[in-house]
Amino acid sequence: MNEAQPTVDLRDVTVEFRYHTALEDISLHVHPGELLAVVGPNGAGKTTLLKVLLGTIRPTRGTVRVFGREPWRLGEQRRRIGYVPQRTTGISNFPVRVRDVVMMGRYGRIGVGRRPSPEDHEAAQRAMDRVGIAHLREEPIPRLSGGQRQRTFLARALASDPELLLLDEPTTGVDILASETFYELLDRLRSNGITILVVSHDIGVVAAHADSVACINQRLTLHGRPEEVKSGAVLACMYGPHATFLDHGPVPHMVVGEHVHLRPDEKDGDG
Amino acid sequence: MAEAIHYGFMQRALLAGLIIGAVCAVVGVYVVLRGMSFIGAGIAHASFGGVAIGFVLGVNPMVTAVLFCLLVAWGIGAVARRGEVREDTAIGVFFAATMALGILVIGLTRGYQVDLYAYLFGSILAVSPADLWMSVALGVVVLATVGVLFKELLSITFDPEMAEVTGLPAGRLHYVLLALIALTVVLSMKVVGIVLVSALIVTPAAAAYQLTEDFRKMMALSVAAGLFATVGGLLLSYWLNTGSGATIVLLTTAVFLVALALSPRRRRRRSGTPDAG
Ligand SMILES: Nc1ncnc2c1ncn2[C@@H]1O[C@H](COP(=O)(O)OP(=O)(O)OP(=O)(O)O)[C@@H](O)[C@H]1O
Ligand SMILES: [Mg+2]
Repeated sequence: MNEAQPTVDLRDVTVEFRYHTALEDISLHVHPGELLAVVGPNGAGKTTLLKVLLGTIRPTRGTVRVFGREPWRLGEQRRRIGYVPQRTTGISNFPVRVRDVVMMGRYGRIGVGRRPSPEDHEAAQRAMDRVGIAHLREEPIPRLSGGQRQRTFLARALASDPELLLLDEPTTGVDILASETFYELLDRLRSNGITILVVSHDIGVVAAHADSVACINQRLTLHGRPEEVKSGAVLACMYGPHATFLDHGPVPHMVVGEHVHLRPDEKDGDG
Repeated sequence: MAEAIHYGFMQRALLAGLIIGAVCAVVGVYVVLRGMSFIGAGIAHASFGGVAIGFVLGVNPMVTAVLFCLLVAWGIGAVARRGEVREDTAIGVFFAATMALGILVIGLTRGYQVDLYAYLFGSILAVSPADLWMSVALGVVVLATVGVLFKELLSITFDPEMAEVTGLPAGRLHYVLLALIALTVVLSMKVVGIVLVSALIVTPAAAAYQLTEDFRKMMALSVAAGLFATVGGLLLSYWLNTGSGATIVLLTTAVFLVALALSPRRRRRRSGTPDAG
């Protein structure tokens, strides 16, 4: 891959569902080794954007390129993408163990009808070590806490040694310490040249780790450096024109309108 | 017990029962975990249309039922995949339509009522040598497919979206799973009956689900429950002179209730963890 070619390249992408336009005229590039944070209110189209990059939703208009190709034509190359979906509550009672789920990340690589090789087992183990769940490898999924489950899904995404990571609110339901560890892990992955798109409501954390921030509310309302994150523009994009930051204490708080105190991540319902 | 084994029909029924018990239990694991119980019932009822066509054409109804069920299973899959109709709606429509077609066709040609009863509710006397071989062949196809595609089927059952994203042909694998359900229905219908077969697919796996949190163990337990129910049910049905399908299904239900009573999941659920069991 040549350095000049962006890993992700969107031009005037519009996604219309039957009764609803989810994304409109989005243009965005992400270069190799860059960490882009995607923020925006509920229903803004963030998940839709990731699905466009995965090739599971095709845009109504505009062009999308991932690794220089249309995502739905990536075929085998899909394994170069690691994905952590937003909510995974439906499968929390499925009788499989952590190591089985992590190995699923490599199934596309292993090939139909084949069994995992020692190399596959090593890669799965490495992924579990990286996210700190090696001690849980024999644990059945139904016994995990929400945060442990999230880390398992991250390990699954990492197991295929991806070059592009698409993470949809990966730290929702993860405690602050684990969340910080998680973003440090992303820092390390990025310095290994992995390109990362992470959807988050955690503006404070995002500001500390991202190279750039894209604020989406159907349209791309702002795309810039994280220093701009605390500016009124991002808050306006997310919570309307009256939102401001109250910068006291370790956790940034904000005021919406006049009275209502909200931490950004509390906007998100069940998570 | 010993004397029952000497009858040819009983030998065939027991052999068929072993295959049916194992195949239903294996396929049932995917059906239960993927929440496809209603598809199982839908395809089972659709097989009635296939059987009726076989009667009319003078072909072995199992042959026409295989073709018909595959068609219906894939039809449901195709309609639901386009996303305009929900899958359960598609099943609801096909289910009744194919059953009605069967009734209509049968009504045009009189004189098959006795045979038809066996197809609907199952009978130990019904398994001809040809039927047995057909069941063996279909059973081998289903089990071999599961053996080869074990991890792929696990992956699409666990999380179809992720399966696709990791590079597996999730769409095609879903059609394979639908075909496996269709074949399982057909190979079971002579002994268990069209009306009851979906219970034999769902119940052993549901019982196994109560007892373990390991996928492979769940499959093993499901097979044990399925074999116990079919073989035990056939012997009971012989001694008590009851319908084989109903006896087998009631026996699996008993197994399920015991599993539910012993279930560690149930204890945990009481202590507050929600569970979709
Ligand atoms: N498959 C679909 N069919 C129709 N409408 C859809 C579909 N998927 C998403 N939408 C709509 O598109 C809009 C954007 O949804 P999306 O899930 O991308 O939002 P989001 O930014 O991820 O929100 P959240 O923060 O709640 O996760 C929503 O209004 C949603 O109702
Ligand atoms: Mg979302």
